[in-house]
Amino acid sequence: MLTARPHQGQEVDDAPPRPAAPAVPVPRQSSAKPDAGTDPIGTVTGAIATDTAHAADTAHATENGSATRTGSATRTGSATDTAHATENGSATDDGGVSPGLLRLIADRHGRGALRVGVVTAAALVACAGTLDRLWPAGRDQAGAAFHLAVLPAGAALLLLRGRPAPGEPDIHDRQVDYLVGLPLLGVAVFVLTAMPARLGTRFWTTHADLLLLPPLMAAAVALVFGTRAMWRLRAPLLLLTAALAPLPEAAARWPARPVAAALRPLVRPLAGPTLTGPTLTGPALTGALTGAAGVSAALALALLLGCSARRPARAFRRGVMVLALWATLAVGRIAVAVLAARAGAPGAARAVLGVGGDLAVLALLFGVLAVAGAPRAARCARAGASRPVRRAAVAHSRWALVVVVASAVTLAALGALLPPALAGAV
Amino acid sequence: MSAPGPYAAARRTLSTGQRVGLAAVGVLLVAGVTLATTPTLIAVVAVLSAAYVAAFAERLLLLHRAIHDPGLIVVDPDDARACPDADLPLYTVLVPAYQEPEVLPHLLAAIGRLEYPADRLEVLLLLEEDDEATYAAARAAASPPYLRVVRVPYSEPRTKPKACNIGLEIARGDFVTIFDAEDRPEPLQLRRAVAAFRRLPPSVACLQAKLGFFNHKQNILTQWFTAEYAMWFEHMLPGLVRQDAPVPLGGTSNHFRTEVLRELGGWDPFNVTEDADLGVRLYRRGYRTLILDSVTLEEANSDAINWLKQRSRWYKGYLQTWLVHSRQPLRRCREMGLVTYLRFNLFVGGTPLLAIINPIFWALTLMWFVGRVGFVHALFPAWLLYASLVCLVAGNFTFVYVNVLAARATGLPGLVFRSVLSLAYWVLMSLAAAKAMVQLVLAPSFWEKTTHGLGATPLPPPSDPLSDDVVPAAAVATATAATAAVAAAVEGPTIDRPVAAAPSAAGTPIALETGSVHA
Repeated sequence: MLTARPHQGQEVDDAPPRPAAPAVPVPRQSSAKPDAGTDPIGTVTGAIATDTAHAADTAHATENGSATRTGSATRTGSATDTAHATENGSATDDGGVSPGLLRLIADRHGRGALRVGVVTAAALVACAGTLDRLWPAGRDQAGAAFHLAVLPAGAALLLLRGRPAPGEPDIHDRQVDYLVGLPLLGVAVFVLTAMPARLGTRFWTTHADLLLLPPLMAAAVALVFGTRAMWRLRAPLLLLTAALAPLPEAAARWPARPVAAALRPLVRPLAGPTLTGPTLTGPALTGALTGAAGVSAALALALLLGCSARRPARAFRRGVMVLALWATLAVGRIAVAVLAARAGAPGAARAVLGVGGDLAVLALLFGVLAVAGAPRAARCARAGASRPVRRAAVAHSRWALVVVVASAVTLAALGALLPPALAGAV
Repeated sequence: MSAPGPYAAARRTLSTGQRVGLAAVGVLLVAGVTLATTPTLIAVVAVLSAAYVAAFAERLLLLHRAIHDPGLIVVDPDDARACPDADLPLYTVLVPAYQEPEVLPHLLAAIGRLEYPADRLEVLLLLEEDDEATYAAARAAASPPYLRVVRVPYSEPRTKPKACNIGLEIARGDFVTIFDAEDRPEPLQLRRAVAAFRRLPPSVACLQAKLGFFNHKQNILTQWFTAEYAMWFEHMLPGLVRQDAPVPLGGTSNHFRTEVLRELGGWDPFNVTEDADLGVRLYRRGYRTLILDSVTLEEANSDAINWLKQRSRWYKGYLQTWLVHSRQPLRRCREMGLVTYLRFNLFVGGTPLLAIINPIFWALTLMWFVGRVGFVHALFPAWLLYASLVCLVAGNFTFVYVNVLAARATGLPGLVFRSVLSLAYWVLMSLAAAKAMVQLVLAPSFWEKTTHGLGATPLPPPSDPLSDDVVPAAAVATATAATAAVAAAVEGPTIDRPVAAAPSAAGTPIALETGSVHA
């Protein structure tokens, strides 16, 4: 039975604090029970996100330019956060930022870039076999070729949507990250190992193995950047899954058919009588419209890059912009081919409409979009620089990186070893 | 080193007997899987399927009992206010808080709105020794005379129950209750509890008030959470009361007779759901817990990661409670009765364990439909396949149905539709259960702190402390109607002897005095 022992609870309502012996005094560092009161492996509690406009306002409003996290100053890890904010949360009067801030941002972005680089490399390694099998489809301008455009677009989408939303709570949990990430890695392995049992050779010929990428990326993001980041990217990951879903050849070619049918009567008189038929208005034109930069690719790119915007109206505008840009490039490409044909260089015309042209169009498309998006990205960076520095969302990512890389290597090995001989099938 | 306290059963996760038993089961399983893989795995699947069926049946039974006769303790506002101030006992409110300076003003405002005379109220704000921020906030706030700030000296484990035990030691009230820092109790709750305690037999040692959320509209997670709480406090806990089973208390707004609580040794500081454990201990000692029809509004967790932290702690605590009270199963059977003990296992142990197992069955189902994996086929022979299919369909239907029913009872618009989508909520539950299991091994007494203040909204107006949409009129009407059903008044049970329930014609085993306290 408990009896009142006033010394255990020190009342301080009307008396200054006096030293009180704890119920069972324990050294704070050494002999404390490891599970009790200490943070177990990987549990991180932060506070409200600091890159919100409100936090930024607070930073400017405070007299010394320092920022305190909204409602966060006393939570776990707040001392460090506050210290960072105090040291770096100020902008110089001329609009520049202090060297300490730049150093910290560079350091933080450097770590982030390293993580992004490792994850990207891991994804490339994991799908090396897949890309190897997909390349013939791109070279032959087959229906599945548009997947070659989907992959960089998906990567761009993940990068563009990876930025934390304003007001996002800065609460993380490494245990949850592993509990989410590891099963997702298992799903990626499952895609490569179990699904062929059901689909047989069709699994490889329809490029269903590409479906390993979304769970792999989801797992990598969860493990390296945290479950919160993965949840933020749920829509892009689902879109990527939909865009990489295997399609029958006829279905993949279907969007190009009406466009080819509409263009053929226009191109035929321009190309001249000697070069019509199989060269320009036949398979070459159709191939250009079904290849890696074809109509399906344009639709997929519009969908993916359109969805990089957070608001529906902006997403629609962005999608339309992508489609318009692609249409411009496609018309230009056909015009170049026509000119080449009229100039008596049918080989050049075929090259323009072939896989080389596909890659050139894709490169131009992504290049223009990157150039167009650069000022906005710079604005975001400048805006972010004046805000309190956010500490790394997820600490201790080294082991996660090791796990991701090891899984990628395993997937690459499985992707290389498992497929049957597909020489004639692909 | 740690502060064991008078009662610290959860200090050891497993007793020696449990370790031996667990090892024996493990050896048997490994041997079975090695020597006869498929039959062993089939047997495991069959046992798990039976556990699922039992869990679904138990839920439906609880639902049936709660809907038929919720047995809530209803005290009319007039009756609650009828007692003169001078006749009211000293009431102690324990408020354990840690690193919550931002919600402290809300708490002080909510306590200030309690309709209880200040000279009869004692509020102990229990702050950890190193929590300077909350301490500073408490010092800065306008301190009412009844508020005492207690600094809890540093010692392990650093848990809420340890702080509460310290509060209990210095509490002067005849009754004691706990409010969390973000709580907004109904102003009449203390008066209602006093009126109820005075009219109930002494064997009723605890009254659990219902909990609701003030930010249920914030997002889909808070809506799911609201529906779940409604199911818990409107159906499950009343159902348990009606079954005369142990009631795992909620973490806050449970009102106790102070001397009984001291007699029991307070809370187990090593158990992270110390209230659930206390509910079981009360039952084992012959005391009973009833549900008070008064609502405390809390902040629903609006962030998934934060929710996972909180829920994993609850599941871990349930596992701790289950393990603690399963150390002497024969003795427990004698204390509780076989059926009640089995129900305790199903409810307290089964809730987190089935949540952990769910993903395994989801994965098996996925593997079969997507990959047609051979071993899945081998695991489910025809007789087991059909039983499992029934389990899958009926079980999922049961849980959705129970959720939808609870959502409908709240009367909140849109909640029923969200409850239909609660399958995704189960994924979160499974994730939390897995995290709980990991922590049970690695850090059994670690208190996973829930961040509050993510969904803070202004306090409701004083004249209407309870949102109409939180306390549905229908629920109150049902509770009032149930008053008539409980007519049989029996003598309060003696301590150390289980209550001999007096089943009435309506099958209501709860014995209460009637009057202005209604059940």
